[in-house]
Amino acid sequence: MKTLIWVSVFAFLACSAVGIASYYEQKKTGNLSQLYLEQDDDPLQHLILVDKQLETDDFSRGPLPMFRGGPVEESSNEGEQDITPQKIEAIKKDNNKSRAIKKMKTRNDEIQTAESETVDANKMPLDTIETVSNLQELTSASNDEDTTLTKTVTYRSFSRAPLPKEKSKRKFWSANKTKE
Amino acid sequence: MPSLTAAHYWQRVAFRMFNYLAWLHLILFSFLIVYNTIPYFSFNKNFAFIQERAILFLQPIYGPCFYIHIFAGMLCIATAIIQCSKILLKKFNHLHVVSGRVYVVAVLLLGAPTGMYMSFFAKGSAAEKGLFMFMALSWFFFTAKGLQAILEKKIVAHKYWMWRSYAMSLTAVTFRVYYLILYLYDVPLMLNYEVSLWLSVIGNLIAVEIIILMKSKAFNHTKNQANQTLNFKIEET
Repeated sequence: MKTLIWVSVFAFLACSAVGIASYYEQKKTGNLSQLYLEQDDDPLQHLILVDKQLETDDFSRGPLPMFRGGPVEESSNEGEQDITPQKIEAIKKDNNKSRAIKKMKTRNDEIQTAESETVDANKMPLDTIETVSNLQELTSASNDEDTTLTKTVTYRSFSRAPLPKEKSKRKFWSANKTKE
Repeated sequence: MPSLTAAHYWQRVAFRMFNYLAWLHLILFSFLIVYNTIPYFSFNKNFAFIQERAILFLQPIYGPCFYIHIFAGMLCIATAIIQCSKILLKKFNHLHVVSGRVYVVAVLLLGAPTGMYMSFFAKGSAAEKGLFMFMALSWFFFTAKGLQAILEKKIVAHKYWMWRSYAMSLTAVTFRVYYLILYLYDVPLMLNYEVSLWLSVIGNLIAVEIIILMKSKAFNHTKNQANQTLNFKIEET
């Protein structure tokens, strides 16, 4: 048993030494800050190991799907399962795109809530209007690639120049009159 | 023997209920961790946990270290539950010895060294990396001290060192519990990760020290009582 302790001490020290060496190697090459690829989906997947099958409402694998482990995507082709530099690049690109879309989505939600509170377009702050126009560009650009986004994103276009108050009032009254 | 008051009785009942509930949760979560670890041994790379560390897995050592580490963790969590049962310890002492050996080998030869290597590339800031190193080091130290104590036939010391070691093993479980709770409270992910990590390590250490303090007080109390009755009997004779 004492031999076990000594062997394990040696193993521990060896692992520490190798760890330090590869840490400095990574630091030299400048890869240290890019060791983790950001996954923008459900955070519970990383630590509680919820798999993506949850999203498809497939609870057939056990009574506690929330804590269930398992592969994220079942791939029929075995060769596809290996990690390659190309695959990493693709994931990075995907992450950047999905992050931008996510930001825009949240911004859009904020705009929608602001819209429900103040209906008058003249009261909209300028930066909100700019964001809406940015969103317009983004959604039109990603129209071909991401159809789910265009389904969920709804927006109103606003003109940059605010209407004079008198004019809008008159319009309002005239509209009321025509209704009557 | 003085009779128990109603307050004392209900205090005992509440303590026992709490104890049973805590053990029930511990066993349940330990089982879930073991259950969740098994699919990794298909060596499929399409796990979110692995994909997030895809660059690290390109290194020749990190991958094997990861698999050894999770295998050791699985063994530790599974065997440690058997160790803590008083009934199993009394009735099947041999099982305690065998599973204890498995636990010690898993920690000292597999889990702690690989954990130390992986801590250099842990997620988070330098503080989190340092925390992982501390975890690996303390896990190794507590287990080695526990082994040394039993080799010297110091049973109480062995028990306390092994509890400390088990507390370190259980950080894997408590981390996930904290992480889940904070996630439900919409805490930002990175902050959630860091807070859960610190809470699990420091919280487990504090909890085990409190338990040891309580047990040692109770142990000393019964020891004193036994000594007093022995002295009384000697005086009588």
